Amino acid sequence: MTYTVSLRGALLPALWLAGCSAAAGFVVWLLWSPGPALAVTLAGLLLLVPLPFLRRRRFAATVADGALCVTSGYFLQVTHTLPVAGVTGVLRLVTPLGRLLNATTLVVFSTGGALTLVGLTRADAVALRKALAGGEPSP
Amino acid sequence: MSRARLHPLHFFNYIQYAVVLCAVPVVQELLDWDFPGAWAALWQGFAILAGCLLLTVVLWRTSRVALAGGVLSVAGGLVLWRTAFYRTATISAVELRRPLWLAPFGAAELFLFFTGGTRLRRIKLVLPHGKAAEFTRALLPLGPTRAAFAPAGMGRLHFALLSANVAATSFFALSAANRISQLIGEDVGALALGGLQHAGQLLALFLPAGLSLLAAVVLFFFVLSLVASWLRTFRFSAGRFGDILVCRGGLLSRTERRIRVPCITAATLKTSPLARLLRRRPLYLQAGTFAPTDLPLLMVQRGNLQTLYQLLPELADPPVPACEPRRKSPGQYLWRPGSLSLLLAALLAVAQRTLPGIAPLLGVLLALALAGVACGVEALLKEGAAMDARGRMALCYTRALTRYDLLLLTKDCTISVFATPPAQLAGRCNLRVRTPSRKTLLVRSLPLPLAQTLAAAGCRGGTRPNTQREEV
Repeated sequence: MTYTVSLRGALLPALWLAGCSAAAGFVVWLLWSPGPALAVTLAGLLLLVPLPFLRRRRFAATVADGALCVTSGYFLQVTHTLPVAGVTGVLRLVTPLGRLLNATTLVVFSTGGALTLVGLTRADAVALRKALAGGEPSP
Repeated sequence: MSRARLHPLHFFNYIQYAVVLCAVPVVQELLDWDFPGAWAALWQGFAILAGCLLLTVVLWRTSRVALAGGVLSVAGGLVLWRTAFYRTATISAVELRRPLWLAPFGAAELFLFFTGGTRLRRIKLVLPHGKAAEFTRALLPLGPTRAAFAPAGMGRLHFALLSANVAATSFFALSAANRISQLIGEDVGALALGGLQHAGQLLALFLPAGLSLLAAVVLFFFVLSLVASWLRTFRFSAGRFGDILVCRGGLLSRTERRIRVPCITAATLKTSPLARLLRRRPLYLQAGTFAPTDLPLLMVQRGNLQTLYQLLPELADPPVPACEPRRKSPGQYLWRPGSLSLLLAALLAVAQRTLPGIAPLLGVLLALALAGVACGVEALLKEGAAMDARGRMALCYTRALTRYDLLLLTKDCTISVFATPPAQLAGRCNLRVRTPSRKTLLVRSLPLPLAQTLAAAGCRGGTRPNTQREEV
């Protein structure tokens, strides 16, 4: 089964990045002056906010043949493969904003490292968690 | 299916600074015997304490821990809702700890360790004691076990001595003294130093003046670590039921460790200077990310490994590390302690003429450096590696004054073969092994073909021949 990021799911990291741009602009405003602060905020918004939407176009997570295969990246495409047998745990994070957008962040821990998947729908996150960790639904 | 809520003390980490912020003025007033002042300080911090209490109650009410279908799930949160799922099949060891400060509240700490991992190494849950014991039983079930190792009498003293860690105890004692000094505003370290100076004056009757204070400090920390070790090893026992090893013990802090035997990655026999004196060696186990250094599993007498093999037959008949002293570089083993010894000997010679007061101190340091030279010679004669047909790798290596005999049972490790150009010409190299518990072991001056064979066989991948550095 293949899991993808929905448009609203991509909006979640886009809003985080917009918040980061605004925070960076605020810091520049405090340390310097409003002009450069506005420039930093606009540059951040223009450069960073489109990234999650571009990334979404090439994102695909597949569980097949005992491995989780995640392909992502627009300019630089990266494929991560984790054997399901090596998965030690799965962490699901739901923020208030994510609840509004029906988007979840999933962190997959394995013996080799960890993989963070942002913007999956709640149903996809539950299905992927079951495919990786198995067991009963959450308490 | 087991279900529980986390203990409210699990969330103490989030509010500890706020609690300390409120508690410090109250304690300071109490130490000055100013009860009205303490009451006023308590009222001032009341709002912060009430907020912390409310936060703890909300977090506690929303927390859930459940174990079902081979998955342990931990959920909770206030604004950020966090649900974690851990596969019980990947749990290598469980530790149930009931420290002194949690026991009055009926809480216990449950630590889970995994078969491997860089980001997720262990998780800690503070649960009601009954529930923590229930989860421990459900995660690694255990039947009636007979203790295969339970030190008593002099054996108990030997075990406590071998488990004592003077360096770690000294560090923690100094940190605690520093922290207490900061909190209550009195220099606890100076008070302790005053007491040590009295002990130093007493020892000065038997020892040279320059050495008495040093001996008092060393003796103080040694006794402190011995007491800590004595408390930790109280009623210690180790046994096995099926594929699960269990060890229990401790007086003030009761600890129970359950280790899955198929997940054991390495077993180490540590030969420290004290172990040489006692002719006994402690055995430390690593199982995935579980690698305790505070308490060994058992203690084996020199030449008598029956208890060990009775408990862990998987470790029987280990390969003997191959060692070729003639092909080794003596300088690699001896340059550090040797140059230090020469320097100290020169300083001692000068000090005897110019500053006789510090000569005894330099003499002690020279004796330690010479012990390092002796250990270097031993490493030259013994350090090596070997692998048997079952894929178990035996490594013998030395660090400072301690020799380690390690049996590696896993292939989930990183092996690096490193040779400088002169060493490569001489056909030798260093072998560096990194285990899943992030311990790095270094065996020096191994024959290059042997190291390449071990690297190829010890890991799932192969080696790239004729390269100076190989990461497998």
